[in-house]
Amino acid sequence: MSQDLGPTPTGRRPPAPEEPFDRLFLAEYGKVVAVAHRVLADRSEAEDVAQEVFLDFHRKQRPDAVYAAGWLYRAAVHTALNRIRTRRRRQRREFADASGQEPRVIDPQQVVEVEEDRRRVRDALARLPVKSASVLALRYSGLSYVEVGSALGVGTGQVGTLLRRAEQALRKEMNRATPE
Amino acid sequence: MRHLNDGALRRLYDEPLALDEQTRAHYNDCSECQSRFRAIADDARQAYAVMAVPGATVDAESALRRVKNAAPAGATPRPRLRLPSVRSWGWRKPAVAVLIAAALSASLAFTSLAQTIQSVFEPSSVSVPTTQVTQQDLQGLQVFKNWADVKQGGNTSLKEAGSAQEAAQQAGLPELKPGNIPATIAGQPVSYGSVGQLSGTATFNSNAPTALQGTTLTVQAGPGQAIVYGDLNKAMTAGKQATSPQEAASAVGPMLAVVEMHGAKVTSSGASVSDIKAALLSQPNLSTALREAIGKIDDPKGNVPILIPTDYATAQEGTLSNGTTKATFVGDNTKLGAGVIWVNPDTHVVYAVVGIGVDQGQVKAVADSLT
Repeated sequence: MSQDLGPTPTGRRPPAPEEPFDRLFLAEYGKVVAVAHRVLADRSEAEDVAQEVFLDFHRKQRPDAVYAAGWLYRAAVHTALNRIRTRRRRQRREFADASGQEPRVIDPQQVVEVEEDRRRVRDALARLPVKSASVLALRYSGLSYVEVGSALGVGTGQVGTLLRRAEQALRKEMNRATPE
Repeated sequence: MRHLNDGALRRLYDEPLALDEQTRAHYNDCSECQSRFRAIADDARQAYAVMAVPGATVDAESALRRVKNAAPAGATPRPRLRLPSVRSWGWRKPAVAVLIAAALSASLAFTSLAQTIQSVFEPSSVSVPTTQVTQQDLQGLQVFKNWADVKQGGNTSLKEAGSAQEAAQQAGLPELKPGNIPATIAGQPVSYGSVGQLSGTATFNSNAPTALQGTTLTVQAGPGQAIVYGDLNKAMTAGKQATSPQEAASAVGPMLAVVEMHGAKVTSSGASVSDIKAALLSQPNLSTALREAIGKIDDPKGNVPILIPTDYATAQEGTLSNGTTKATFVGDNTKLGAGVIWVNPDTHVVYAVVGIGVDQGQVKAVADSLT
């Protein structure tokens, strides 16, 4: 079954799975990948994160638990944030190494600029407080305020405030990182 | 009606129908709110654009097959346990309380004496007095209770985490990776949690000796993280219902807690450690054991004496297997459990490994894996 990375599944309806874990997985996998993808901007790595999160869930939690979806979203965003934090240095090193190599694309300047923009956003995201980065990733991946609140363990009424502060903090971080 | 706050305006951008009629009516008539909304909406659009990612699809069924292949054969999900608030711990039995308190909060690992005057320094070691203290000795501490007006801050509730990695991230500490978990513990459910920074002030009032009056001590401890092996829900219930420590331990079964926490850091607006020590020692009717303990405060520098009443538990100093880390080993007299506490003198981070249904050799083995 293929799913959009957004919250709304598309395509044909799959046969009803019998196991609670299977049902949970098929219902939430697309959203969990979407959350991780929003942080990582890398679909393949986002799927790695989603599978890691589901494996962890499978080991420790009950699939029919009422908090299952919120747990998965929160674990996805935290795991993805951990990855971008650990890969920042590696990317800088690889970027520096690659600068001396022959370009393999037709328009290397444009590709480099896109990559650089993405890197700046991920760097800014990695510098934000975890809750701020989390609320951005969760909301922008299409989760409702109720779902975001559940994942973060806060009331729905607080989500707007957290989101507003996170957006201001992100803008500040992006401006700070912009070379003059 | 008051103006909408930023959070409500932000939600209005995403979910306009979620606001109640009265709020929307105010917004429709309020140019100020509308102006603020436009600024908030602009920010939201920009942030969303910045974080845009290329669209893609996923194959959930294939992913499910991969996850099932990767899951260990026969693995079954463990029941999820909610971490209780520190405030809600219902342990009434001192012997067990000594162990649990030591495990769940490094600040609770110290007795009331140490909590009062571990001040104006960052503890870099813990020790036990050579003279054994009793519960009666500790009653002599009551006199100090009225010396200061205390205000507490921070959040003492344990925050649940989904994994050791998440708990570490919440606490801002390296991930705890305890090894040598005893076989009787290894099969137990595992809970992870963190506690934020705790803070408080104590201002010496007119009941205190003149040299201290007016001085404010500001205490900060944490954040910290904990891994607890065992059924916490069962422990909570048993702790409240049991009529003896043995009954509680029997009902709970084996448990082990591994705790890491930034140690207390205390600053003073006036009095020094020497001033405080002198003021304490000037009080009449202090037992010999208590005088010795007070004398050992900050001697050597950074030392905090742990007072474990011999009526309930034993405590002795020792060294972990790396040969350099000094630790205090606590044993419950009723043989229900054991614990070990130590401080990293360089980072001032406090560690505790405490268990029920385990012996000192087992908690030391876990502690050794962390050093």
